[in-house]
Amino acid sequence: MDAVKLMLEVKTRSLNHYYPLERFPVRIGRALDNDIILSDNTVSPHHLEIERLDGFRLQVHNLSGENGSRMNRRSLRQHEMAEVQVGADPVNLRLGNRQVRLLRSDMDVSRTSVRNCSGLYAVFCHPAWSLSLMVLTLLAFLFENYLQARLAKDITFYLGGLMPYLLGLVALTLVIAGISRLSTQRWEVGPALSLAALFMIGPHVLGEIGHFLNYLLTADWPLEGLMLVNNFLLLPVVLYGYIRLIHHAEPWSALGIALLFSTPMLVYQMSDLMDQIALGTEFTGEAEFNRTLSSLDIRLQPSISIDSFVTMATEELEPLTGKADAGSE
Amino acid sequence: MYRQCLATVWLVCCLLYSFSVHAETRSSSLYNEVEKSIYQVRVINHKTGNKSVIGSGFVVARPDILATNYHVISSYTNDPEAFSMNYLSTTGDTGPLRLVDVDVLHDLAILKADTPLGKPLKTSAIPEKGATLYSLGNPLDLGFSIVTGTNNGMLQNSEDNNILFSGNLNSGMSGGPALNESGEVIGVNVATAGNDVSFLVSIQYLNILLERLRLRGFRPAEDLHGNITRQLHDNSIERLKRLQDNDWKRVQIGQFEVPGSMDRTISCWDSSDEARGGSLLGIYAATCSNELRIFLDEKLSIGEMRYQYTWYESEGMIPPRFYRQYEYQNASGLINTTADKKNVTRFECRTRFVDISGRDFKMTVCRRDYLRYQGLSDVLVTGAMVEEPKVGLIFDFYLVGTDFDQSVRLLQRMLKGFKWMP
Repeated sequence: MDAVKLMLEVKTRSLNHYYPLERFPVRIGRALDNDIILSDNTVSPHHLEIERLDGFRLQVHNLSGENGSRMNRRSLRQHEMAEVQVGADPVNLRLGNRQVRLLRSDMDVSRTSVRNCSGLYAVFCHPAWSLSLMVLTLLAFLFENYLQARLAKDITFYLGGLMPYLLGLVALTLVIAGISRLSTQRWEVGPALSLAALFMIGPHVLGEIGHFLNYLLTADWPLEGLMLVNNFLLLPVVLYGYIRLIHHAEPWSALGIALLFSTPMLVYQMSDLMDQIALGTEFTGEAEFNRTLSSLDIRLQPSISIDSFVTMATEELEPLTGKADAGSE
Repeated sequence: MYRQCLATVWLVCCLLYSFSVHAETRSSSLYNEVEKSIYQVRVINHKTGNKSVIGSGFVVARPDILATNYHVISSYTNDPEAFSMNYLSTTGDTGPLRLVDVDVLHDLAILKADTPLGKPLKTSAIPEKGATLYSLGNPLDLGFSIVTGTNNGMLQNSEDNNILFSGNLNSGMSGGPALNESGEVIGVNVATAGNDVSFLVSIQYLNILLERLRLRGFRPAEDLHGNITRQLHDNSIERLKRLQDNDWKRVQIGQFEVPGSMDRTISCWDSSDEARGGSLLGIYAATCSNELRIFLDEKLSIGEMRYQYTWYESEGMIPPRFYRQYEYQNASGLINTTADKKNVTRFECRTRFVDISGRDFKMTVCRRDYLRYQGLSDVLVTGAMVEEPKVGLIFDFYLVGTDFDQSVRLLQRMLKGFKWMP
């Protein structure tokens, strides 16, 4: 296919630049006599020269001794010449801090430029989903307020209690949409609203599931486990999905950014967890057992008779001091 | 709940009470008669060489034998290496004391001096109600004093059978004698609830203890701690068995009929929450408890037993809303003692769903054991009815410093006494 051309892609925020490579050698650098000029302070005046050997086989000559060059993650010495074949995968170059790629014009670009709205990503894409999520979140908090009130109240009381949540939702949406606007040059209010709603309703939903499982299994670990998921996984996972969709980041870089933004929260949760572990090892005079009650009364444990209960208690709750003595001997 | 007041007044020597010594002819002559038989008992901390606890004592049975309260000298029994005991007479003489034996259940201790201390006081039966009594001791380390008061008889609804003494006892007088008009000991000062409400240990328990010691010539007990532990454990078993064999009163709470008072030592009170306007949750509660607190050390008293039934009624709430409130309630009302990790293990619990009178309850039994008193445990039981969408019953039951197996047997009989009335 003679029509296929070699291209040089220069990554810039939100809008990349492409240069067809037709006449060789091609010299890249910050000086104005280059074939391709990159006005980046970390790029040397004459940084790199590319020569065509034949077809898509190229020779890359690193001219820079300042901030260096890398090709496909490998560092190039000054005046080093390296051969490379541009295949289906582009060749990644790095001149100083600037990312550059060598690619073929027939490369599949759908992965980076088309908005992927299938599957779970749909919750970020369609305005209907965003609105539904918002309404669902507000209804969940309204219902929670209703369940918690011990005194008879008017509907205005519950609606009043909802306002802080609404305020939080709007503020969070604006912050997310604002950050997206700065980096993508687009307003993505719908996805930002979805993201904000997910942040708010996520812990609540996990808590309800945990409570149900606690009662089902007569144990405390399901809710504790889900709270760990909530504290450590919810934020990075939702951020990851959002960054992949709205910012079209590659999986690894999306993961990196998601983790970076989650770090303050993760560190906070980690210190909280450490405190809890430290407290857990301290002596407590409080009895710890599962106290959940549920109107649904869905559980795996069958009911037993009083006699079996008493027998169980006598057999399973043996003298604790006796055991401790035996252990130390 | 006068016992709660007692705990604060036991031996805390920091509250300055104003007290009055009634100027009466008999009391002044009586004081002169017995003065030489009254002593201050002091527990000395070896680290500082100073007194850490003071109480009173009196010569009884033999010239070298002093009687006092167990709680006066408990820091010595709990740590004999760090503490020692001595006496101070009304004339300022001092000398060392050794421990002969104790009766922790009735808060009595018998001490022995190396030299004769004075004339042993005679003991006598408790006089009739209304008789004047004279209590002696050294309140707040201010000096030996005599306090006049009235005998109001043995407490009927307590397990320790203390005498109610309407006179003003103060800390530091603990262990001193209470005398009748003839100067004979009829009780031992033990506690006060303030405002002329004070308590004396009945003389019968001192006599029993002295009789036992006389048989072995007042030789100090060899395994004192073992004895104390045995006294406590045996007492717990005996008390719980007695309760199991009694006929119990029954009380109705919501749609349940449940066991009420088990005998005269356990009294039941209504403890319902006062309904607030617009409350959607009706709460009706009955609490039964004994008044027994056996003093082990400053931070540890055992013997308490309490059970509580709380009935919850939804006033027009949907079931999830009712259960949310019901679950909040299920998190409270638990055991509250000052026992720490030096005294007890952590609680170990088991939870099961139990069929009680045809209704399902989520029941939990917890146990923690005393480290220094083998065989004693704190037992905590709590259960919540789970089937009904609009009513609930939470049953709490706890026993402090008790025999676990007997406690569970008592629980078994209690649960079988529940009756659901549809």
